[in-house]
Parts: sequence; C-alpha cells; structure tokens
Amino acid sequence: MLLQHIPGVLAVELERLSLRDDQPNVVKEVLVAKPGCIEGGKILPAQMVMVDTTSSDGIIVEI
Amino acid sequence: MFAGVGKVQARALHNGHRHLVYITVAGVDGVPIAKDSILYSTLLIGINNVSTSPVRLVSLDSFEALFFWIRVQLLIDPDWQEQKEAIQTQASQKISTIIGFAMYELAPGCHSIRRNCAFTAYSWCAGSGA
Repeated sequence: MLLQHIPGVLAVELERLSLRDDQPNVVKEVLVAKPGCIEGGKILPAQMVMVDTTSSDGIIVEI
Repeated sequence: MFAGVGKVQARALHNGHRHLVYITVAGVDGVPIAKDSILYSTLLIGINNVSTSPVRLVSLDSFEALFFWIRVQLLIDPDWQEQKEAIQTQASQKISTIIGFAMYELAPGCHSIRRNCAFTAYSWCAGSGA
C-alpha cells in the first residue's frame, strides 16, 4: 500500500492487524479465511476477510 | 455474473453420502445474501435450471465475514506538520481503497491477507489447504 509514498510521510508503524474478535494491539502476519467445506458433518460457507467498515475502529490512522 | 452477486465460490464436496456442488456467494459490496431474499431465490432457481447432473446436489449459501481491524501510526516529516491532518485523511483513504471490496476474495483454498515486515505493502494471497 506504500503509505510512505504519501508526501510528508517518513515512516509507518503497523500497530494492529487482526480480526475484530482477536486481542487488541496484535499484528498478525496472516489473516486466514477458509473455503466452503464440511466440518463435523456440517457444511460451512466460504469465509471472506473484510475490513470492518461498520466500526470507527476498522481503520485507524494515527499521527 | 448474476446481477446483485459480487463474489462467487463453487466447490465440489462430499458429505459422506453424496457429492454436492457447494456455492458460496457474496452480494455486491460485500453484502450477505439472505436465504429469504428474492435474489437468493432467483439465483437458486437459475442454478437449478442449468444444473446438468440429477445426482449432484447444488447447495447455495451466503459467505461468512471475518472482519479485521487495522491501525497504523504515521511519522510525519516536520516540514509537513501543517498538513498532517490532510496526510492522515489521505492515508486513511489509501488504506480504504487498497483493501476495499474489489480486493476481497472468497477463500479459494486458503485465502489470506498478509502484511510484509514493514507494512509497506499489503498482499492478498492464496495458498493451498484450508
């Protein structure tokens, strides 16, 4: 995403990248979604990783 | 693409007794498609109309959203301090653009969002396995 390309930005520190229900202040290397599958005899739909636009905490840019 | 449907994933599954084609859908802009919606009914009828196998069931579901949060801290050049709020807005918009719905994929195997070590880039990647 190269936020450093924005004029005036010297550096960027990622302070949180995690699922909404994870512990706060966690930076995960990977957020994984599962495809549609059968688990325990139950059919589970495919998952999709999405930024939480319903919350003001979904995207936070601090200075 | 069916009108109103933004993303689709179809997988061949076996529940121990029967083979089935399991289709997961997401509405435009990541909206779930409820089973009691007209869109769901219309889509299912359309699928069944073109289904060629009488022994292979077709099942249709809306996706499961995994919402994530992202927070970044910017270090602003002292010479740009007067524009820091504009920079903040620009950065937020850039994140929204890059990780918007167009970038989302229904997990094609093991789909993920991954960051690089310095968060200079995001990447979406598909690996193998679930």
